[in-house]
Amino acid sequence: MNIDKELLEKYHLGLCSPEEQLFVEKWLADDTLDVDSALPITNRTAVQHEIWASVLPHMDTPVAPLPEKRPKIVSLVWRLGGVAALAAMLWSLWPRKADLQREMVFDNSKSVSPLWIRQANYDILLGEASSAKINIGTGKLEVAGNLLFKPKRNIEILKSGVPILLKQGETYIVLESTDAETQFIFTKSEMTFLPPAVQRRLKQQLNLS
Amino acid sequence: MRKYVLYYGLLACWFLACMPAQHPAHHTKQTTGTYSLYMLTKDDGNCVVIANNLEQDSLSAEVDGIPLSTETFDRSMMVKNGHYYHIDKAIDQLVKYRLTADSLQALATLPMADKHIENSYWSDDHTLILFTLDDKTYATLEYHVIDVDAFKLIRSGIIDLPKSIGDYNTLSIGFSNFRQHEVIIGYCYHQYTGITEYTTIDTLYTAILAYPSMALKAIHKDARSAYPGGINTVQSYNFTDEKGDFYFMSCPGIALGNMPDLPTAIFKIPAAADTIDPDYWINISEQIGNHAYGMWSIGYGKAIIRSERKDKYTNFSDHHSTYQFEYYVVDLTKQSLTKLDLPLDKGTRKESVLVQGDKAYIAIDDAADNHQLWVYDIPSGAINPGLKLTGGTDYILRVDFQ
Repeated sequence: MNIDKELLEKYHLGLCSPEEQLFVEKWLADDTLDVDSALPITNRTAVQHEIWASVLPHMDTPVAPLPEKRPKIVSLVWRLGGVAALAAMLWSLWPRKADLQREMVFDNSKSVSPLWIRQANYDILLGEASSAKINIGTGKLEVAGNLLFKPKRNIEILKSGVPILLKQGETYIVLESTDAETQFIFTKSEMTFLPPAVQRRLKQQLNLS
Repeated sequence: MRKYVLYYGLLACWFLACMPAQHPAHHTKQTTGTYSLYMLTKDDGNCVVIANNLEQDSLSAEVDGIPLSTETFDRSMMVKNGHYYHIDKAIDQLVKYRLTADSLQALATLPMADKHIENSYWSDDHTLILFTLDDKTYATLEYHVIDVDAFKLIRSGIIDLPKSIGDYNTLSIGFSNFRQHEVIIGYCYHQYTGITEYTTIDTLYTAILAYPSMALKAIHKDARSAYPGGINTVQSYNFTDEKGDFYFMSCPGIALGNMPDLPTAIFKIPAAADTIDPDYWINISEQIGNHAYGMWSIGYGKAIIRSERKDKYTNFSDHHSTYQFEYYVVDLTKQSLTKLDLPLDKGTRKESVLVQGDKAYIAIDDAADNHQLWVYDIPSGAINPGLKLTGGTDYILRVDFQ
């Protein structure tokens, strides 16, 4: 598999297969790879013209005269502001490491109502009589009972030993498995495939509509 | 870090490049037509696509699909005469909708608090009868007769079924068979053995109700299988043939009854009787070695069933995503099964067969990522590819006449 423009477009539209998604995520996170060789551009001038040609139709015509040069102090403020905005944007994209490597243990086993727990990288709704061990650094997601898992960024989890990507903004339902070999992780849309008797209990226990 | 910048830079250029192509090609989405297809898309969304022809062409979920909020909707809906009916749990109302280019638009509502639909029946084009269970104990069965034109409740009431049999203390309703002066309800009991683990009692139950009073007249049992039918707003499990004989399929497999040691089988309640024919059954599991869910009449004394492949799935964690479902034609008289030459399908429980005249349209999501209607010519048995669904389609969950 190679990183190219088509794959990145697919990734952005959420049309990647889980393997492709993981591949792009890893590529984005890995600063050791050489950008130029990963995205070879054989003819820079042609690419520059192509980009310019796509930008040009969106420019107002006739082109307005350039504004008079402002005093340097204003332009410095603008530049600092721009740098700050860029830094804030990049910071918001960066994974927060607070609970990346630590195993978190959540316990709602004595309760008869579900419990919301907010973390830096995810929120969970722990069902009644349920508990969970989560380490998103190692991909561990162990549940006794059931929970809703809402990632705040894309998180890789091991499902039955196989890495899968849980997507930012999606709601996942995680069920205890009686079989140690398999784990039950479903998106909210996939819940419709569960047996009706299981859906009823989940809706009741996790206050789902 | 450089790559994130490069990634967003590339995206920005790409969006700019895409814009001129999108503006002139502004697409008007079709909101009315002959057929309504309900789909789950690869971005975990739901959408409806309207089609006028299931035998050719292709339609795209992305371009032609009308997105539906996954917070409000799922595929367990009723489609009739251009309207859609579904319980909106956020407002606890049964809602009548019409399709617009953006979504389903509510036209009228009826209170339906703390209930879910187990079975629906159209007594005519204007009258919908729903059977619901309560959302707390799942043991109180109610009926609701609704005038869908005025969208008013005509009458409703509790059907006095026993709430438990031993430790089996929740109900499922599998079918309703309306006769001139009677309604026969097929049902079963479940027992939860863990937080979500459950099993089903090893008996099929039928209750005979007086119609229209819905007063309980008698209860009968049949121990040959478990869970008679299934939730018919999700998939079809029964029909009445031209002679008035009523056929239903039991579903003890893991997707419904979770009593897999008992066989999936087809049973009959003859027109002249109101109990299950003790001498008639087609033991599907014995013939194909698997369980099935879903049955549709195709006329000529035959039906299509949709069966799983236990050698392919592990448990219900991958039951829906495994390409495993096969379609068989069952001859109800000869009691023989013929497998249809179709690709393996995925998706646990789907309303994937629609019969119109001498043709059965079968929607299949196959391993090559094709999402395709197949046209089965009932008299000749010929199968040909029909309408293709593209543009991010993941599962075709319903095919209805709009």
